[in-house]
Amino acid sequence: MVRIRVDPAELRVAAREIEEARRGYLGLAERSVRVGLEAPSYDGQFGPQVRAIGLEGSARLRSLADRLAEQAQELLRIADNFESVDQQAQQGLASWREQMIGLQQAGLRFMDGLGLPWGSDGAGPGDDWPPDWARWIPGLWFFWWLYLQLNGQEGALVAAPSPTATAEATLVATPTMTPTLEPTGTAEPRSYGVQPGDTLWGIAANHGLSVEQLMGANGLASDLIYPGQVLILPDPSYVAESGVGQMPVPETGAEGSVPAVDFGSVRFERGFNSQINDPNSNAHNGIDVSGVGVIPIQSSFNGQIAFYWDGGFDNGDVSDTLEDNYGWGNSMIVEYPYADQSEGVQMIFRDQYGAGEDDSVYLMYGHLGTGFEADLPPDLQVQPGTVLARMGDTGYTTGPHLHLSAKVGPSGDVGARESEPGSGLWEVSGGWYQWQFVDPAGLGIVPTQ
Amino acid sequence: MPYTTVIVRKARTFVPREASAAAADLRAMASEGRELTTRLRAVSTQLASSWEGRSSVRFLDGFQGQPPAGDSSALWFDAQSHRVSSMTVTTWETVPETVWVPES
Repeated sequence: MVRIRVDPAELRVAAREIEEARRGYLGLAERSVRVGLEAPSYDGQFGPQVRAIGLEGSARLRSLADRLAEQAQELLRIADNFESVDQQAQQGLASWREQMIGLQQAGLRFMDGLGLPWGSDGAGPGDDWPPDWARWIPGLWFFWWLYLQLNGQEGALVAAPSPTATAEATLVATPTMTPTLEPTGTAEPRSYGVQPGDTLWGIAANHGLSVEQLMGANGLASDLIYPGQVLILPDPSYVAESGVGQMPVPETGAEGSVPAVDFGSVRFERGFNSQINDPNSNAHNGIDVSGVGVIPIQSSFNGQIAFYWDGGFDNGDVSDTLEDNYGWGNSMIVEYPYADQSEGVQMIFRDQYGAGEDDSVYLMYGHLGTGFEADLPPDLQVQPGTVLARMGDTGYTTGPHLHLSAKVGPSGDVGARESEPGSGLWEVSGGWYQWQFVDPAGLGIVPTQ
Repeated sequence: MPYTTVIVRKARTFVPREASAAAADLRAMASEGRELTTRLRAVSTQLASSWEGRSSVRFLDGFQGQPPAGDSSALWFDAQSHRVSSMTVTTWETVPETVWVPES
């Protein structure tokens, strides 16, 4: 079976074979010299000629041995890289497991909220109940809910137990702006006092509402609630309509069955506050949006594509971080200037990202699919809904997904880096992105290598 | 005194007896080099058949040139072995020789 990613041990065995061959050639090289030295001179008619042959043979074999040494080392380096990525993947899995446990706990609380058995107290209908395996039932309920969310089933509960869980769930559940709610019915809104352990989606589900309705009715910008908080419960017939600051409505995907995803509703607050601004952090500086298929990625706002890299990297090939664009694979930085946005978007930029009139929000889209360059707008100007690229699997990935990093900085800050080519880093407002400078768009940026 | 004995120098061309030993050594080295090349080729084939991607291409681009280089070295040693085995030297020896001397 042909694999892009082979077992590092396999590479090490190959490196050892090469090393043994190298030693063999070195041994031959010594023998070659010795043959020349042992040849008698015969008045310079024999010995010197054989000696010259021995030396030349030795040089040939040593040259071959040197190349083999380099290649054995290269193989070991690739093996090290693969192992390093394995460790990162293990850490990622551990993090994912923690999140899943959190989600399961949320599921338990959900069961508690519905008054169903086998909630967090494990209490079932009888003394012998539940058996150990049954304690996973709430989690299974929750995973079913998550499945419905990820597959976009109509009528599924809409909630966001964790903004760092699966990004698509977050996409559905947590718009970045505060949408206005225009009541279309006449019923009086009810209210609900938040209890310990409540979640927004649990409350919404209990009252036949969507999270968007609940957030809209209460002016919530996130799914965070606290005990004692009183939430307005709108009538389920109320419909949240687009208002000031509303993100563009996702379009139907070009493939028909694949819905377009409005990445304008991805939240970045967490990344801004804790990770992205730390230039020395090796943390995952952004958010991953999982997906299957060629999901189109739309521009969130008005802006311009600052850089892009459509190099067509092999999926999962992580042996060379530099040439692999620091692991981002095919990727793109889009600058969204504050000044170019609608009033509603400016409000978001200002209130949530702290952007000023002279600032821009820079989004970096990583692991994109190949071949998007041909479809980019000629002037690289984008508007909300402009398809930038499609989700891919390039660079450091364990599967198709979109990596999004965000940064706020002075407008035109990307261009300001023209005077400092070669760093391989994109600096914006004290933070850093690892980014290989390329200039396929003719912006005057000097490549680093 | 029609005959007399004189000392003369004569050239003698021959293949040194050490040549065959040296040639055999070089031939043996060619053979051992081929064995090493076979091992390298096996490594290359194994990697090429089970590993693809940019890392693989980059590595194998360089590495797949080594077995042929090994073969080339082996051929060279074989050629040198033939060359040494047929290498001759010329020595000049002084030997007594009886020659006829005409009477004056």
